[in-house]
Amino acid sequence: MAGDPNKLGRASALTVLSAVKPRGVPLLRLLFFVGPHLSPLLKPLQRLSFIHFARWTLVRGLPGQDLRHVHLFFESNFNGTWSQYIDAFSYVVPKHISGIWRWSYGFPGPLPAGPFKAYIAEHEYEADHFYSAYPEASVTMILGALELRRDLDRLRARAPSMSAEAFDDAYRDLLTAHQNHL
Amino acid sequence: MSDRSGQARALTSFTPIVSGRAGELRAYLRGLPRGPASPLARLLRTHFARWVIIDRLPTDPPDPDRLEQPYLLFTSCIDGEADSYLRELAEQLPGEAETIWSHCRGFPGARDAGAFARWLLDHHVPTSFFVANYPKATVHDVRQSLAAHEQLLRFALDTQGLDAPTRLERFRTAFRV
Repeated sequence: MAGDPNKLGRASALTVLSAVKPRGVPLLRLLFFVGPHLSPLLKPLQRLSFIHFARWTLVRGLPGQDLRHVHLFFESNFNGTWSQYIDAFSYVVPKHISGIWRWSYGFPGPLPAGPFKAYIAEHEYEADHFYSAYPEASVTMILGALELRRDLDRLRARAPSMSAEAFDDAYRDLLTAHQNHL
Repeated sequence: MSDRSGQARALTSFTPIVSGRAGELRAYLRGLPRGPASPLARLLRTHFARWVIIDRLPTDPPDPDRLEQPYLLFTSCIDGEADSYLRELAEQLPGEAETIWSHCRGFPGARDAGAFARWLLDHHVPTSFFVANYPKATVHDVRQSLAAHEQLLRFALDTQGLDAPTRLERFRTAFRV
């Protein structure tokens, strides 16, 4: 199938490696250790409504080869375009991005977006095969559908014993509550 | 370090490619069918996955590292444990797994699913920070929810203007209540 190997439907892949300055390694280890427990770090990244899954990994060596420099591996599975994605890093969560990449050699800072985009482009790798189980679904669609299904299952459970009028009220409430996702 | 967020796991492996075989491997990977026909679609616990040939390292630091050989990066966002997932990989796509990783040094073959899983886990690099936006939802949950969304949307359009008893009856039938 022709086309951009980093894209599949709405889904996009980003794969980046950068070399970390020695003094940044312990700080990044600390940041990544506390990050999952620290709402100010995690929540804004989760609130980027177009990231399905993302990961950062400190690579100290590769199987069969020691490395002089620790490398920061970043992978993201997101919906939307590459340019929109990097723009969001620059304009929506610049402090977070700076906190993570400021220790990488050559990092120009998240703003202005132009040099940051050039930096990512220079350090990224094209996927040779990229797969998504639900390539046409955006994160917003998925979060909305998961929530809707929970409420729909509740209505299904109640429906056998409901009067037509009570069902109609509950049904309209369901549609109203989820109108943004329908 | 955490490869885990909710029930989701991050799997990251780097396996060294036999000298001179990266081009052939890349051509094979790029020729695999994509989307629902991808061999990875047979692994029902895969949210997202990729194979990437890493053939260079960043050159910005002083005295930069140079790869002695290219590496095959395989990453996957999965439901549940990595070991059973990799065994399933060997069982569900034996031909593709054999072809792909036979380009890599030390590959034990894919016939013994346990040996294959152990080998790939030996090449696993633990994730430092894993962000999942719906960490409790399995692939099945996501697909079922998207289908339920579609079904409700169709139901809402089809039952506009019906009286309440008829709509309830239709709901019980459509949603098997």
